[in-house]
Amino acid sequence: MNDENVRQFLETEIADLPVGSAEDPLNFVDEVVVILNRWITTFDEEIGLDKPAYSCFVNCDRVRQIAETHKGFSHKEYFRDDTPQDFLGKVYLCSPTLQSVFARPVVASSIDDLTREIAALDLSTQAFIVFNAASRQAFWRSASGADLVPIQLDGGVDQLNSADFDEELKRFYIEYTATPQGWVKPWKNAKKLLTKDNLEHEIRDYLSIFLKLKHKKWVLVTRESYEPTGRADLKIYFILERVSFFLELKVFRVSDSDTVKLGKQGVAQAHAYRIANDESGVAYACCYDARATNSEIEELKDFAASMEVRYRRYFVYRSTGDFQRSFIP
Amino acid sequence: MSEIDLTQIRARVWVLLAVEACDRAGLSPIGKTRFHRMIFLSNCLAELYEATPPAKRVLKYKRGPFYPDVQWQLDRLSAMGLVRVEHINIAEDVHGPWMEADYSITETGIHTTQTIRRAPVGKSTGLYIDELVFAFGRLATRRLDQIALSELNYAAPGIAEGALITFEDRESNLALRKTSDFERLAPGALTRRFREQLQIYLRYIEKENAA
Repeated sequence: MNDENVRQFLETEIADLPVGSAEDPLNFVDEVVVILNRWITTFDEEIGLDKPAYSCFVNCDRVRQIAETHKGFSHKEYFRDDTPQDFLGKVYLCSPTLQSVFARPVVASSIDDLTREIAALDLSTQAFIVFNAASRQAFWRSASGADLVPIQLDGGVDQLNSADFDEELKRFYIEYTATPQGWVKPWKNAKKLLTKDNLEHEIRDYLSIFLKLKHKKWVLVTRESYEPTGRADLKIYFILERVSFFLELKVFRVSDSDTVKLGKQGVAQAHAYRIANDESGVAYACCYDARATNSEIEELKDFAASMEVRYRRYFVYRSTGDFQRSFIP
Repeated sequence: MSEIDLTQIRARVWVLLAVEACDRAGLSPIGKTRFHRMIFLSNCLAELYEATPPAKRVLKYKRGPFYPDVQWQLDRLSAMGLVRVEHINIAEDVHGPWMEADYSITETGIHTTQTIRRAPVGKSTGLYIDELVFAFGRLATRRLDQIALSELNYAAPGIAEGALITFEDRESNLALRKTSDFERLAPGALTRRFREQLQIYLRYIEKENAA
C-alpha cells in the first residue's frame, strides 16, 4: 500500500477502534452493535407474531467456564464472522471479543423476560444487551448500571463535525443527566441533593457510547485516554478534520468544600491534556452541576476563558418540573 | 545450588500470561499452531510497549512461525499443572510428522497469573499481552490461523524458508516501521497511541492476508 492507500485505510480503521482498553465492557457493547446492524441489514424483513423476536447478549469474562455451568448452551462457531438466520430467540453468552459465543434458546415476549433470564443465570452483574428485532430496538446495561439504556442501531451515519460538538453535548445532557429520569439516573436522593457515588464515571461511559454509536464513522472516541500529562476522561478525534478534543468531566455536589477549586482543577486538567498533544486541539471542562441552585460561577468562567478552555456547566435538576420551569423567564 | 535463569523465567511468564489472556478473550482452548503464531505477533510488536519478548529470533519454518523454546515452556507449564493440554493428535501431513494439541489455563494457572500480575514486571508485560491477545481475538475467526503468515517481517520478499527473522534491531523491524508510518499519516489519532497502533497493525496484516 502506498501512503495514500494507507491513509484511506486508516480513516476507516480508526473509526472502528475500540473505546477502551483490552477488557473494557464498552468495547463489548460496540462489538454487539456491529453484529446487530449486520443482521438487520441482511434480514431486513418483518418478524411475524409467531416467530421469536428477542435475543440477548451477555459479556462473560471466562465464557467457557460460565457456559459449562449452565445446561443447554452450545458453542456457536464463527459467530463473529457470520450472520445466521436463526439468530433470534436465544440468549448468548459471549467473550468480550465475540470470538467465543455460546447460545441456548429462550422464550421471551418482552425485554423483561430477557432480564429475568439473565438474573436466573446469575449474570446480572455483567454488561448485557437486549434486542427486539420486531421493533429494531436494543438496550444495554453496564455492569454497574441499574437501568437499561437505549442504543442507536444503524447509527454512525450521522456526520459529526467539530463545530456541532457543543450541540451534541447538550443533547446528551438533556437525554441523560438533566433530570432524575435521564438515562444516567443521576440522583441517589434528589430531595437531599445526593448524587450517585460514581456519577462522573457513569457520565463518562454513557457519553462514550452515545458518541461512538451515533457517529461511529466520523469520530474516534477514546475513554480514559492516557496523555503524557495525565489521563483524559475522553478524547474525541474528528477523523476527517483531523482535530482532537480533550474532555475532563466533573460533578459539582453540595458536599464539595470548594466548588471553584474543583472546577479550576477540571479546567487545568483539560488544558494540560491539550498542550501535551496538539496545540490546535480543543479542551473542554464539562461540569455537571448538582448543587442546590442553578447559578453561574463567574470566577470559574473567567479562569477557563483565560486558559482557552471551553467550560460548560450543565445543571442537574431535581425534578422534571424544575427542568420545565427553567424555560419560563 | 542452581542459578535462576531470568531469561527462562521471563519466557515462562510471557507464555503463561498469554494462555491466561486467551481464556478471557474467548480464544481458549488455543491450538498449538495458532498459539505459536500469536506469540510471533507478540514478538513483532513487543517494543511498542517496551516489553521483552521470549524470543527475538524465529526461524521461517515450513509450518509457519514456530518456537521450540515456547513449546518447551508450554510443556513445562502443563507439567506444573498451570496449563491444560487436550486433544493431542500426532499425525503425518505433507510436511511430515506433527503433533497438534489444544492449550488452556487451569484454575491454579489463573491464581498464579494473578500473583504474577501484581509484580511490576508481570503488570507491564500483562498489559501488553492483554492488548495483543484481545486485538488478535477481535480479528475474523477464519483468518486467525493465517494472518501471521502475512505479517510484514515474515512475508518480506527475500526471506526464504529456513531464514532467521530477528527483532533485535528496531530499525529493521518492518512491523514497527509500519506503525511509525501510521503515526506519521494520522498523527492526531495515533501519536504515542500504542494500543491503537497495535490494533491497526493487526488489521492491516489481516487485510493484506485477505487481499
